[in-house]
Amino acid sequence: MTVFDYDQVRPSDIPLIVASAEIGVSILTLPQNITKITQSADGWMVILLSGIVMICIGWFTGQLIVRYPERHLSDIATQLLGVWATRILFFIYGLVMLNYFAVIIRLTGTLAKMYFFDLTPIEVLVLIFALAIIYCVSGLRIAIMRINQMFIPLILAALAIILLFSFEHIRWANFGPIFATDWRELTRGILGTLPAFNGGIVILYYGFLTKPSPLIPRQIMYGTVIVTAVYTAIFICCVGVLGLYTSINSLFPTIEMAKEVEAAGGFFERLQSILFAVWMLAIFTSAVFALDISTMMMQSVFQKMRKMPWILLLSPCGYFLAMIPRNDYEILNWSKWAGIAMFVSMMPLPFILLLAHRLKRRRATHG
Amino acid sequence: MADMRRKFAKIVVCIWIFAGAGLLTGCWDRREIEDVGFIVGIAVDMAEEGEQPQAADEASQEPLAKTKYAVTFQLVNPGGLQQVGRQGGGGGRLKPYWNIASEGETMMEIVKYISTRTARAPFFEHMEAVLFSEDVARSENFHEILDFFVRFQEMRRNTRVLVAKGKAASVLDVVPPGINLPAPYINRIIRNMEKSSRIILESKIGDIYEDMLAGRSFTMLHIEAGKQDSKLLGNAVFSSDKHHMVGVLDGELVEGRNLIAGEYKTGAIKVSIDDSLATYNIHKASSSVSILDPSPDHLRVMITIKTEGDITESFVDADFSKPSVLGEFEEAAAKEVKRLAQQTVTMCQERLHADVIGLGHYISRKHPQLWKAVQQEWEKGRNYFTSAEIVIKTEASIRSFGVINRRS
Repeated sequence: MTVFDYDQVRPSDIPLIVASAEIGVSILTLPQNITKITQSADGWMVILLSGIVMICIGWFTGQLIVRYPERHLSDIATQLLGVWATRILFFIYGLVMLNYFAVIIRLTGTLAKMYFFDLTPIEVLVLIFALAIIYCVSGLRIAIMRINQMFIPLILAALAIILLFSFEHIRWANFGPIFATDWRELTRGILGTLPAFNGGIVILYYGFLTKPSPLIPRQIMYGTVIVTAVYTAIFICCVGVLGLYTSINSLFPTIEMAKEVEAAGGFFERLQSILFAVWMLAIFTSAVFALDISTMMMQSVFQKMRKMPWILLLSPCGYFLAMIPRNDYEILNWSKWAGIAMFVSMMPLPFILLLAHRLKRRRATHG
Repeated sequence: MADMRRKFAKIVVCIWIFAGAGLLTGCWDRREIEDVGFIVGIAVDMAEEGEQPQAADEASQEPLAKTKYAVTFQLVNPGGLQQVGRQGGGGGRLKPYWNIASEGETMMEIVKYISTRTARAPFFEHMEAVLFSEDVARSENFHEILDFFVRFQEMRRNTRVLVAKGKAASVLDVVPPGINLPAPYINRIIRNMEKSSRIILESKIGDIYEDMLAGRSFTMLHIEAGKQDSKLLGNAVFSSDKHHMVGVLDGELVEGRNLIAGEYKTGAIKVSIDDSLATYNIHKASSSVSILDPSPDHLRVMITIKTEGDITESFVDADFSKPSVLGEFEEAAAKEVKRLAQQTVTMCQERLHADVIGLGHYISRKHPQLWKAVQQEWEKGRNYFTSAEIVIKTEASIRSFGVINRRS
C-alpha cells in the first residue's frame, strides 16, 4: 500500500503546478502584446512556437532536477559554479523576482480598481492583496505547491466556461489573412511572448521538494503543453470576438472579451466578475511564487537571516516599488520589461548548470 | 514572563482581527442594490438651438466646446416593475421606468449632472441600447461622442447602437402593450429582425469600434418611433474617414447588400415576367468574389450571387410542367436579383462612397498584397472602391413551384 506523502511533490503533480505557475497576469495582456507586434491574426503561431521553445527549456530543467534529486538549487549551483558566482547570480534573481512581485500586485490593483472598485484607493487594494500573498509565503513551501494544485483546476474550469460561451461570438472572418506575417515579425513576436511562459522555470527552484523520478522532465513538458493550449485558445477567442484592431488597442483584451460574452442567451450578463475572481487565484499563485523565490534567493545569499525576517523585509520593499509607476502606461511598460528581465536572467540557468555539470563530469573521468 | 507574553500575543491577534475586519469587508465600494440606478438606455440628441455654447471669449479659459448635447437616460424603476407584474399590465400609477434628461457638452459631464438629480447612482453595465438622433449622427464630430461608449469601463461591447429618425429621446418613450421597458423592447425587435433580409445587423458598439480602428465604413440600425411601436427602417451608413453618417440604406438596398455579402437569410422578391408578377421566395443565397483585374487603378471585380428558392405565387398563368417555362422564370429571377445587387452597388459607389458590401474586407483577407496597395485610399482620397468596376453575375435556381402545374 502506498501512503500519500504530504511533504513531497509527486511527478504526477508537476504538470498542474507548472501550469499554475505559468498562468498569471501575462494572460490578460497577451493578445495585445502579440497583435501589436504581428499586426495580424497570426499570433496563434507565435504562441505555439514560443510554447515549443518553452517545452524544450522545460525538458532541460527536468534533466537538472533528475541529476540532482532532492537538492536545493543553491547547493547545486554552489557545487557547480562556485560560491561567489552563485551568490551574485542569486542576489540578482532575488531582485528580479521582487520586482516581478511588485509588478503583479500593482497590476492586480490597477485591474481591480478599473473594473470593480471605483472608490477604494489603489494603495489599499494592493496592500490587501500583498498581505494575502505574504500570509501564504510565510507558511511551508510544500503548502505553496498544494495550493497551486488546488487552484489550477478551478482556473482551468472557469477558462473553459468562458471560452465555451465566447465560441459562438467568434467571427472567423477576423482571422484572415493567414500566414501574412513575415519571419522577422514572427521572431519578434516569439521574443515578446516567451516571458508569458516565465513561470515554467519556477519548478527548478522547488526541485528539492520533488520526489526523485525519471518522469520529471516529461511531466514538466506536459505542464507547458497545457499552458500553450490555454494561451492559444484565449488568443483565438480574443481576436475572434473583439477583432484584430480592438485587441491591439485594448489594455486588457482578455477581460474585454469576457465582458462581451453572454451566457445562456443573455441570462448571465456579467460573466467577467466570475472570471475575475478566478483570475485572482491565478495571479495570486504567481505572485506567491515570485515573493517566495525572492525570499529563497536572498536566504541562500545571506544565510544568517531566517525566512520570516526576509519576508518582512522584502515585502514592504516590493510594495513601495509597486507604488512608483504613475499611470497605466508606465505600469504596462514596466510589466513588460519585468517579464523580459526575468526571462533573460533566469532561463539560461538550467543550461549553464547542465553545461557545468557535464564539464565537471568530463574532468572527473579524465582527471 | 511566559504569561505576559501570551497575553501580549492575544492582544496583538485581537488588533489584527479588528484591523482585518475593517479592511476586508470592502465597505469602500459597497453598492447596495437599492442605491443602484440601472440605466438601460441612452438617447443622444442635439440641444435646442439658442442654447448652443457661445464662441469662447479670448479671455475666458473655459474649454472650448463645439456642440451641446441633450442626453436622455432611461432608469429602471424596480417598484414600478413589480406593480406592472402584479396588476398584469401597466395600469398602476408608478411607471416602471423613468427618463431623465440633461444637457451638456461631454457625456461624463452629463452623467455627473444626472447623478446629482437621481436618488440612485447611475450604473451602466446592464445597458440595452444607445440611440443617436440623425442630426447628431450626421454632425462632423459624431465620433467624439462615441468615445465615452468605448472608453468607459462600465460600457459593454455588445450594447446595440442605433440611429433614430427624428428625436432619439422619443424612441425611449415607446412602450407597446404588454411590455414594461422601452429600451429592452428595442433589443427585442432587433433580435426578431435577425431573421429578416432587410437589415444589416452590425450594430454593436464593439464592432463599430473595430471598424473605426480599421478605417472601415460601418453601419448602425436605423429606427423610427411610432405611437405604439418602433420600427426598424434599415441601416444608417457611416463614412470611413470622418465617421459620421452619410446616408441610409433601406428596403431593397439592404436586400441587395445582403445578397452581395452572402448574408441573405430568407425573403421573397417580386419578379417581373411577361409584364406580370411572380414571387420568388429565396431560401438559400450565397455569393463569391473573384478579382478579374488586380491592378489598383483598374480594379475589376466579379461578384457571383447564387440563389435557391421557390415560386410561391405567379400572376402569369404558365405551365410549369414544361422545363422551358421554369428556365424562363429562373432567368427572370436572376435578372431581378442582379437588379437589386446592381442598385446597391451604384448607391454605395456613387452616393455613399462607403464599402458597405464588404469588398475591402474580402480583399484584405484573400489578397493581402493587393490590399496593402489600396488600403489607405480605399474609401477616401483616390477612392479605389468607388472607381472599381464591379461586375455582377447571378444564377437563380427554382426548386419548386407550389402544388399545381398551371392555374387554368
